[in-house]
Amino acid sequence: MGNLLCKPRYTAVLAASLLYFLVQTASAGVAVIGNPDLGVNSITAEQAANIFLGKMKRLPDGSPVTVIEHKDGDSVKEEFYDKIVGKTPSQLKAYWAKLVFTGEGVPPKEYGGDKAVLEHVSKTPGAIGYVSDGSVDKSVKVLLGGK
Amino acid sequence: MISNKYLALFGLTLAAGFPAAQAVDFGAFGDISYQGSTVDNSANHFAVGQFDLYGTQKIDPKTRAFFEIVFEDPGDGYVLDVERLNLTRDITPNFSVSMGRYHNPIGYWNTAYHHGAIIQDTVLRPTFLDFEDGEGAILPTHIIGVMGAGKVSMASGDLKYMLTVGNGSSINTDTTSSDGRSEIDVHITNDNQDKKMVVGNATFKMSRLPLEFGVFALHDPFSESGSGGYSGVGTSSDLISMRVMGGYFRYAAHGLDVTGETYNFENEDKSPLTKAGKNKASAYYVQAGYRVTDKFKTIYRFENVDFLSKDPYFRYLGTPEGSRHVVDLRYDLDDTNALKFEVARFEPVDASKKSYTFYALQWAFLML
Repeated sequence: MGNLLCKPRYTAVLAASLLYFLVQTASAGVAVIGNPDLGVNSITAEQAANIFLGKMKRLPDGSPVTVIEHKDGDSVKEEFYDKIVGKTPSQLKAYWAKLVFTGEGVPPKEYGGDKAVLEHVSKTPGAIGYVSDGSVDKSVKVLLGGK
Repeated sequence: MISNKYLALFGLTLAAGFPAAQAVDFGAFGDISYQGSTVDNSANHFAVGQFDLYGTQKIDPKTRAFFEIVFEDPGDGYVLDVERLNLTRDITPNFSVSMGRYHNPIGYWNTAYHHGAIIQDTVLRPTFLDFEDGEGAILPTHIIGVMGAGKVSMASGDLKYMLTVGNGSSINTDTTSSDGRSEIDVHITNDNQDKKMVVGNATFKMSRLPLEFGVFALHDPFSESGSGGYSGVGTSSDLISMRVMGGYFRYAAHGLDVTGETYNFENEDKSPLTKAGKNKASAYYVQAGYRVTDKFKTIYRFENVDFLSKDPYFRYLGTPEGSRHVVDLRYDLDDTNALKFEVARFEPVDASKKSYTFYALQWAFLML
């Protein structure tokens, strides 16, 4: 091992791998955010998943919730559903397709990327959304995750 | 029945519409199976099932449109059926009004499961909930009319209700006379008479228990759509006044789900020939499923249909009276496709008729 590290080629590969890992880790954070006037200050990952899957229509304090969704294809959306909800993009589509088909639910409206989600969450009473860690600002309240 | 020319035209129209209609959510369901039965002279065969295409869009902030069309071959060539086409307007966050063609809101199964085979656990629906052209059909499973639907949320749970008024059904008893059975016609673009079908359904889903239960009622003034030579009533005249009341429940927790429904009929015969008066009948099923693993599930269902032999309604339809045991093994390859193996045994009440076993391996899928 010591000999390997001494060789410049292996050292460069190791350094590159470490850098890639650090970059991935740094960009991996997702924060669940809410309108600053919400009556709750935090929610669990399970509650967040149920809210975004349409299974929970009210926040833990009983107030109605409005979901502000990212558009399909956003990396933060894939990350949120992978880590918090436990669904791949195709599983998520299949989930909503079955609900729409049976009349049991309608997927939340998609607003765009982090900027649009922040704007709508901050202006809509009872709104909840998610953005990448780095996009969080003071216009919203962090309910789960974040830096 | 439609020709290949119209199918091609329809396909081109859809293909042209997709790029421009980005906001419409389209999806499709399909299934392919290998099946057979112990009925005399029946051969095992592969079968392409229904191909179901649906789309929905919120066309303004309070109004959404939904369509569902099905391509299927009932045995004499492909047909295209508009299964559902409706517009829904949200009046308040908890009450909406809609118009169009729906699945009739009777009971649980007909409300929860539609034509997409992957959605229901078993290969076949309960026999008595067959669609109108099915061999076991005894109910109008579709309705064309207006619907009010709402929800009342309480601490103990959610109460959902639906009230629908639509075209009355009819039966062409000339077909019974010639083929031994007729189909229920739910009248998509017209009606035989001014009397309408009325259906109500209320469901309560408990918040503290994984249990929901409901009640429903239906009144359908069946008319004669044939010449009336067999039934003795004139064309478009009253044939049968059908009243159905029933209840259902569903429990689902820890991988176990149990569903049961009961339908209690009172059919009033309007024929001056048979003069059978009011006749009671019943149909029910109980189904239990257990998810052994995330992907593997076992299901058992018992169904029963019971009616009086003097009731002309079931004679017009050629309904088989008896019970059926259904066993299914289901393996979900993914959220988008599943394999189902089913064995169903039908035991007729009439000893002169033979019992038989149906078996099928079905691969059902969802396209997004």
